[in-house]
Amino acid sequence: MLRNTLKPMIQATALGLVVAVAGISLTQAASHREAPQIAQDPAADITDVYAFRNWGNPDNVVFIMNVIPAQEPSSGPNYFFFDDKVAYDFNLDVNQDGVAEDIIYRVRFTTRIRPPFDDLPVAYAGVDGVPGLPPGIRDLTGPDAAGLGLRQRYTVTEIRNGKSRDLGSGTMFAVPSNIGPRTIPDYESLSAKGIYSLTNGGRVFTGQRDETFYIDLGATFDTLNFRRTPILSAAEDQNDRRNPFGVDMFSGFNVNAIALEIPISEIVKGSKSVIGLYASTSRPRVLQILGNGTSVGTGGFVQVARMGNPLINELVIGTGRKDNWNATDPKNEAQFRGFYRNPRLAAVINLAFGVPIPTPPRTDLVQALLKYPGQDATTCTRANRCSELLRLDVTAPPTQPAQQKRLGGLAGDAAGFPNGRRPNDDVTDIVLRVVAGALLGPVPNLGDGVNFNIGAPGSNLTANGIYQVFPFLPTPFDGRNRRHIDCGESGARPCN
Amino acid sequence: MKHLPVGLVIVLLCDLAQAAAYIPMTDREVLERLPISVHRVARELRDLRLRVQQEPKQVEYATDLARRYLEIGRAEADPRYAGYAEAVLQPWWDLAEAPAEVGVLRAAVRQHRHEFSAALKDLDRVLAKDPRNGQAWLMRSTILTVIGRYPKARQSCLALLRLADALVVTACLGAVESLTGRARASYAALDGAIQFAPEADPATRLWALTLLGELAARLGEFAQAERHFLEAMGLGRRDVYLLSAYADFLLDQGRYTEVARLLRAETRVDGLLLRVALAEHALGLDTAERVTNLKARFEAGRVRGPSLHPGEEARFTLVLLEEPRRAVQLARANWSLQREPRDARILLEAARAANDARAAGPVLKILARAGTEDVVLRRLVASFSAVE
Repeated sequence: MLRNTLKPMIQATALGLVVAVAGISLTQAASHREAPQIAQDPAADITDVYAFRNWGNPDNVVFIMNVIPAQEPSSGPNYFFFDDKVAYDFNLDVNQDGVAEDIIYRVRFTTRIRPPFDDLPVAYAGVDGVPGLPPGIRDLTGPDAAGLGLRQRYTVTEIRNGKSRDLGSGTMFAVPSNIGPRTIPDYESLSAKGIYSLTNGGRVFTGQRDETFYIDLGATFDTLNFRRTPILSAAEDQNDRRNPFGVDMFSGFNVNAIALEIPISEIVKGSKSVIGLYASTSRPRVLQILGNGTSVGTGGFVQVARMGNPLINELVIGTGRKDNWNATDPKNEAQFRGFYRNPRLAAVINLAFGVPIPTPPRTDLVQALLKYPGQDATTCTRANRCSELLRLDVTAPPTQPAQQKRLGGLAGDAAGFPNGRRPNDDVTDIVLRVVAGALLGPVPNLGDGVNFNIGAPGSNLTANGIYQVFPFLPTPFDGRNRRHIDCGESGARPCN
Repeated sequence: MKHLPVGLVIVLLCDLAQAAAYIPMTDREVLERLPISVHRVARELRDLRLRVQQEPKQVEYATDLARRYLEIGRAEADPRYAGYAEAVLQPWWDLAEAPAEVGVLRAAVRQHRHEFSAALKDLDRVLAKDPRNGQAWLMRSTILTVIGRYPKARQSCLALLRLADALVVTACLGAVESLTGRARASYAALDGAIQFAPEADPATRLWALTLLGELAARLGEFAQAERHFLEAMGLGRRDVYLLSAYADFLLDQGRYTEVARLLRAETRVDGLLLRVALAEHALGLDTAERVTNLKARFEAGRVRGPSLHPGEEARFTLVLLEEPRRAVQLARANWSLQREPRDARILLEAARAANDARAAGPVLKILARAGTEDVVLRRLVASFSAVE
């Protein structure tokens, strides 16, 4: 008779499992394909950079850097704020040598948690008419700011020829997140108070705004046709006020913005009217974590993120080298030249949209993204640098909001991307078409089906979400009433 | 009983009531391969579990451990790990608005159990709050591809354009486009993308290479397929899906001895045991014991709930039990769940054997509309039109 020989020879005790069973199915093969764990890209500090002439005052240019993207408005109790350890820099090249160190505008923050909030679990509070509680927040300073527990002061410094100049005309505060109407009864009025004059004749604003980067992440493709590719009809393409088949999944999210307005005369002294810009964030080289839960930075700054042209890191570089790319200087972009000459995105476009793409080497992309007009795009040398900068011709007249075209240069609107970048330029569609060869000849109307920033809240807006005055980004959604425009709602396509 | 040294592993008996215990001849004989490097991974798991034990409500600790469990479970095709992951995520499991990371892992568990609708709902909720979650988009795309919803799968891949590297995007898109009439372009794009991504994460590489191998095989490029599969195997990462795919390729090539050799020590895994049996059957060997074993496995799987892989069982029923009508039933049940080429294939093969053109109808229609390219499927499809 067979004895019970089921005693396990090995107990996988390290796993806490006893793996010795008879006759029972322990494992199956995966009967369907499963997705692997992918490396999640580290949250890039900078999400968007804009540079354009102020269409309300064309003597000035505007530079904007957006950080901390995809903010869900209702994320209490701390909401979103800038990092004290980070140097937020706008780096300018004004002599077209490809080295953007001629002028640096540096913004630094200092956070303070003011009593009595240093003893409370919340950073903000405010209710009108309740004794013992601070009133609704109506100012950034003074008694109407009593409810502003966490407050950030900041400085704007111009660094030029090794010399620093403080551009602030007084104490400046960042505008806090839009928590909700009880805590901040009139957010637009409060954020207007966050616009300060600079001693060079410019202005500055830092604080939360609506995320204007619109992209269709929820396109409703025609499910009756397996092969519908997102190519817009001519009519759809020309309508900047309707989303033909996309849903702007970023509707309803906020972002933190640093906006600078500077007189052109401060920047351009000679005849070179095309300037180059990139934004960067830098952190201290060494971060010491102290026992009391705080940290202190030492050892000089190290760049951790940069951005000039939009979508370079995601679509042109497109590999696991993003951290590496982020830490390098735009003037050394020659080391990444291969990605511009032979972009991976082209193969993806061909695969996804079925359009033929120009054969490499793509000197048209090198010209558009790495060179000033007239420079030789076939080589990268110290005298003729390949430098990844957002380039703006400050003599091109700005276009008024009602006449702006989301496709910018591709639609004859020379004041839009790739000449600088305005907040409402449809960079996704533009980049898709440029990579598909739009600078070399006609390409189909590739697009993601989202043509404008739907549902932007507040005042000073055109019908297609352009905020008409400084800081040129819409009022953020408030935490209490935030609205994500989902499929099926008016203005969006039906759900599928 | 001779005392076996610690270096050997467990002896599994096929059937307690009938089989005799197997006594190895020497100490060095490998009876069974344990799935993982017990010591290294065990230590890692122990550390992760300790953290969770100390603070079970700390989301980050729980999701780290659950993710690790799921990685192992996926590589091993071992459903118990999905259960362990669920246990660790218990504090948030029933919350509709769970933290994003929990939502993603919950979706992973659910899709593993073929609860595709529930998994997609989880992912949609995550993405509504965190539209930049690349893992969620990738998982969404994969599930949608498995159930044959190609336009939405494609759209999910496009969302990854800004969130993942080019290799991931290309593989994601390639998986969909290869089923909708662009198999050659998908193959070329993915082959190029892999060459341009030498620093790609190993898990991504393995996934992409497996896909390339399957794609090449479907295009009839058998030498290329072999190259890709071998490169994937050469990464040294255990992956049951890869082993199954490579074994299926070898079976189709008539390389039965190689299958038997490749999977000899892998009979713990049902699907791999099935492929060993198929190889031995093709070699004309006596498979009675294998068949009994597999029958018990499928039966035991049913005891726990509806069969988790009716497709595998359909294949077993058709080839080894030679019961085409029952195989058609199982294959149809499988097709109602999932729609990959292998699912189409087993249904068409069973329908062919049972002379049941009606059962084949729906599959033929879908394949035609989508434009799926596959040399084996093409032959099967042709066999049905020839009959009409």
